[in-house]
Amino acid sequence: MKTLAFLKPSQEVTTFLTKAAMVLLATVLILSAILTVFPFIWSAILSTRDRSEIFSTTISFALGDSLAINYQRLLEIMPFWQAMFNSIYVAFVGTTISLLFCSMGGYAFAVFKFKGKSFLFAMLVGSMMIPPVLSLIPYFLIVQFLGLLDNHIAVWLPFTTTPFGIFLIRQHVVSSIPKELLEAAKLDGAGEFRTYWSVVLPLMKPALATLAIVQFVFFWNMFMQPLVVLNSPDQYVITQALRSVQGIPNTPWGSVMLGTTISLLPILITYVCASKQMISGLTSGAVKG
Amino acid sequence: MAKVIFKNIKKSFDDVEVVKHFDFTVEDGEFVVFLGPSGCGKSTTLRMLAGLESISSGDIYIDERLINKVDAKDRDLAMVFQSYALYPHMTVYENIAFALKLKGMTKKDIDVEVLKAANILELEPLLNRKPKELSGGQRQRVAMGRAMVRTPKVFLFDEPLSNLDAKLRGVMREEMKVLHRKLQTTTIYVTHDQIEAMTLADRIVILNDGYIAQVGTPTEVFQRPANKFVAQFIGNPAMNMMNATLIEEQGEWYIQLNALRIPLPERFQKQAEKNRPVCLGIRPTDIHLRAQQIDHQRVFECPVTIKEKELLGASILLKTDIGSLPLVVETQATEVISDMVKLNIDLDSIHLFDASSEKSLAS
Ligand SMILES: Nc1ncnc2c1ncn2[C@@H]1O[C@H](COP(=O)(O)OP(=O)(O)O)[C@@H](O)[C@H]1O
Ligand SMILES: [Mg+2]
Repeated sequence: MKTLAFLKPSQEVTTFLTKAAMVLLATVLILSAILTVFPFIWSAILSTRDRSEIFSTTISFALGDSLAINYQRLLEIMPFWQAMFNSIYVAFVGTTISLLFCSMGGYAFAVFKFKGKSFLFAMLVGSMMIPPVLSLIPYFLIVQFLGLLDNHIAVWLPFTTTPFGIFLIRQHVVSSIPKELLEAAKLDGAGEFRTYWSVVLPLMKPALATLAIVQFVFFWNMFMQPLVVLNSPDQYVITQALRSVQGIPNTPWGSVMLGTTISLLPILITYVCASKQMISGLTSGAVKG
Repeated sequence: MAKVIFKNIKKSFDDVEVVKHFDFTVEDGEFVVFLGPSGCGKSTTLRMLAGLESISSGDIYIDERLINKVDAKDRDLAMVFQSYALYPHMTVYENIAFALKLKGMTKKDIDVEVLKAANILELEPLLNRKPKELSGGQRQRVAMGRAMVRTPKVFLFDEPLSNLDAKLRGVMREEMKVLHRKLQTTTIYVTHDQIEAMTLADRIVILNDGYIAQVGTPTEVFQRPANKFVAQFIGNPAMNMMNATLIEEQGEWYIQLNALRIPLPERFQKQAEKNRPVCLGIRPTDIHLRAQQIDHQRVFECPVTIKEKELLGASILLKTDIGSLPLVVETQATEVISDMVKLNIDLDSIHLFDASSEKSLAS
């Protein structure tokens, strides 16, 4: 070993290399952050400009002064707030019910013993591989059969029980809720539902927060499914509404950009709220150290 | 308060039989300790009683009521887990109150009960803390409090002190004893620690490999071990075990240890057979350097040379040979002056076990 000592880099070299790596990493991260955020900033800037400014050839980051006009035009071309409300309703109800259903399903898969459990679970995980587009036609047929066309229930209900959500919760329960806690609850006289509600659910918070973000974003960005089942404009969700004006002559892009920018806010708020709950280590102190 | 009857309990996990035959009755108000080495099926037996594990065969009765098929939540037992299993999202108060809330008690009654338990366990200043803000000993007390407020039919403890340091363990042992005296609730306590078993138990059930090796009071299992396993498991330092044979010469019976002959005490003579292979057990503390320490004449004297010494403080362990077999002696450190000593073996407290069945030969 001694003879190889000269291969070991000196202190200064190590320090330098570490610093260089940090700078490189930071550069890459900052660049990708800018790349990610840029479209949002750009749409915010465009929403203050009029049509000619938007299509001018020079690139400038200056704010325009057409915000009020764009807003007025936005309300003229589409039932914007109605669509926003529809989207908030669909995303909120959908996410809430998802949390309930997925946590129940995941908990059952994690804790209960029943025949065919591993087969069911394998099916569940396997179904995650199916591209969503494939299920679009069956989805439409089922919704039609149930008589839910042009109804918001058709947009949120089928997507409240997702394989990913159940999988996520199951993994969380298996890895971070000690079995003894459930046994203690049982001996304390809690039934199955009570144990789930009073002991398991509060301890699932980090996983639920993650799932809430995923589901909220999913419901908010949902486009294909509402497009297939919702027909009347006052049932439109925001993605549909924003898309619907692209066909009209002389699309007022400033208004569309304004609508897009506003429609980003709910996601942002949800993310900020939910990510606070994503703290781990919630079960520390339950057993031993 | 209740009487618990185990009738021929068996338990298998898949193909592995873990509890092979468990027949035992816990009397009302009794403090019973299940003692045995790790993996002998103590926890499994306890968990079957609690309803956390299904029973492969046999019946369990609590107060004459068959409970095999009764749901764990309806058995009215309280259990303290080795890991405490406190609800991490609830405060100490809520942890203790949880079971009472499920029983449908009013807020006022719950308050009274929780404060009473907190008072006994000195938890009052901690009631608003979460489990993660507590030390090991405090968590242990919360777990006890959670069991106590229930006034259950039976208390179940599964190695409740094994996560505490030695000093705290002593304190908690004392408290458990006091608590049992006060509440008089039937208690089953599982441990692998013989000191806990000795100090706490009314009766000890010693388990070995899924079977009951012996049931008895702490004194009984220590002084009259029913078999070789119990003899070696109980007592520290462990009992000396030596292979020997019984022989008879001119109407006198002897235990033959290679070249050495020890007269066979009265109480073994009923079972004496010529050339019967036996195991001779002598506790290190039943061998004395001074003959005055034994107040009767049934003493066997034997001069030996000490090969090794191990000072334990007030007492000392001497390692030597007797009949060319290794022997450990525990005695007062001050008594050992030279390496050549005369051992006085108290013949009233030696043990003999059959070499093949390993059962005690004492009658
Ligand atoms: N759920 C289980 N599945 C399979 N084997 C188990 C299970 N629980 C316990 N065992 C086995 O049963 C034996 C006895 O376990 P246990 O009752 O916990 O022993 P202890 O006396 O140390 O409490 C051990 O060998 C253990 O590996
Ligand atoms: Mg155990």
